[in-house]
Amino acid sequence: MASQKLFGTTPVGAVAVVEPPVSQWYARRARVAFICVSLAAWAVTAVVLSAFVMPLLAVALGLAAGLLLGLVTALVVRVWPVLRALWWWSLEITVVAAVVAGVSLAARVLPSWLLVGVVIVLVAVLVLVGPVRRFLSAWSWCVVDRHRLRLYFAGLARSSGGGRSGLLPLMLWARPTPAGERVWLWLRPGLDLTDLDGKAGRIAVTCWAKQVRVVPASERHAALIRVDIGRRDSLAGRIDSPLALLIPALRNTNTNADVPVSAAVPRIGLNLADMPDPPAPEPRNGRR
Amino acid sequence: MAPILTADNGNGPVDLGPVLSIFDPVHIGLDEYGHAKRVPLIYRNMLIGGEPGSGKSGLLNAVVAHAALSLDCRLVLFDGKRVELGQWRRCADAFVGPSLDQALLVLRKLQMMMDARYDYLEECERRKTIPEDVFRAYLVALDELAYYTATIGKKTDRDEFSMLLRDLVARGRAVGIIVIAATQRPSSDIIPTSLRDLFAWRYAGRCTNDSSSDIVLGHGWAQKGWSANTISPNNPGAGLLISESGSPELIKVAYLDDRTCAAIAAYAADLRAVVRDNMPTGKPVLVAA
Repeated sequence: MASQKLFGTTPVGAVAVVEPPVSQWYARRARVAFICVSLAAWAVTAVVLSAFVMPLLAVALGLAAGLLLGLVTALVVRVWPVLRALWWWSLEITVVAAVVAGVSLAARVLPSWLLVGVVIVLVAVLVLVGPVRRFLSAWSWCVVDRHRLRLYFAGLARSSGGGRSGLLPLMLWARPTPAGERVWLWLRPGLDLTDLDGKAGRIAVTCWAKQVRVVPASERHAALIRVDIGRRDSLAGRIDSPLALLIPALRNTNTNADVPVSAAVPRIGLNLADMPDPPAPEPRNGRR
Repeated sequence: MAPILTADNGNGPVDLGPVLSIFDPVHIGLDEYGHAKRVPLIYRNMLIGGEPGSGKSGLLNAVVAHAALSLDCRLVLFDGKRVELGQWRRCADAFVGPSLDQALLVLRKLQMMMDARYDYLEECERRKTIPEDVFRAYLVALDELAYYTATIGKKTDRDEFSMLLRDLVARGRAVGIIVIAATQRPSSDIIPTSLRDLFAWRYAGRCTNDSSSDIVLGHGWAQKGWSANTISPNNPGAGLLISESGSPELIKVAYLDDRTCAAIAAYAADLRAVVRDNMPTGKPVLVAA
């Protein structure tokens, strides 16, 4: 107990982009990739080159080519978690880069007071104009959902003993719905829809949503699933039938004032007090 | 193919445009994600359950409204209360009120018609009706089914009603007879289990407990988290629907108020009054003025 440090051995300020077990797994994989690719490339290159140059030279050149190709492959495999993280955040990185580039470009051609004015107007349009704000908000939630779902599946992979992020499903597409968002996922081997049974509540918590439903999205592929994320209750209000739009008499007016009434039937007997007492039922066989 | 209204002016038919068809999916409301929910009803039957005020009649009216505006579909209505489906009386071939004798008579005629249609299909070497067929589909809508199967008349008559209805549900779909039945709690004392289990589409409005929900949707759904008991009593029209996906979906039924219902019914009745069967093609045509 005494040997335990209060804050562990990690230096202050260090952030793990890739977690240590994942990093070790990819390091092993990079070594294997280096060996396999080098040997394969060596053999193929040597065989091809032997048709044009001396066999010993072909072997030597093949060895050099194999080492080079293996090194490149191993490097890509080794840094793959970082490349993947960059891909996951590519949209945000692109948007930030575009905004910064746009502002800096405008700063060169516009006077500072005009630049500030343009930025204020743009921000005001994005925030104050309802349809624009709702459009941005809806699609922003789609981007957020992809990250939150990835976070959930990473936790699921860890809890299932995988310890690596290879089981993360592919996030195919996400789009807004009137009640929230809908995300399509492609599950990797090792995970299926039954693994998500009873976990909708946890996914909803992870996605900061009210509720989530996970359903199959394809008749042919079990790997393709759909996650419906609900943030709003779209069923609270009254829903009108579109059939009313087909009726000419209903297209122009929308009032309930002229509820149909009957002129033919006299309004007698509509209250209990108007009703006469019914005759008492006759006793059957002396019993009631 | 949707039927085409054709004006027969003596110089050949003039196409006026498409109208609704019972072969189209029927809009019944929105799903919980705000998308329109449309269910195909042709070749299928639907059972509607739920406590009073849960939106059963709303769904029944939405379906009947679509069928009334579909000129390739005829209506047969059973309504123990007379007012839920009463507005569609002018559009219907038969409207049965609180009379078991009349209900039996209509069901027997429907059964005979079904047999005749099967004779026709057998002669044509076909297995089911198609949109261009020489006979039209029939929508048989029953509100308060329990009134006919467990409340009025003699037991022998009620049993005969259940037996005839079971036959229609079991055999009618291929010849275009669609049965939509609504009742509060379709337990075995109300509807024979053998009849209840034949309905493909099921809608459960709010139910008072999990077992009532399971009676409508099928055994075991409450255990999987799908119970109509969880639906708020303050949200009439919301309910669970089992349709194409095979698992329940939360939907809210589109509501037709009295004025809208009356206007659609009047329009549909007028439309039906000016069309007649064009016997060679089976398509409805406008009657020449």
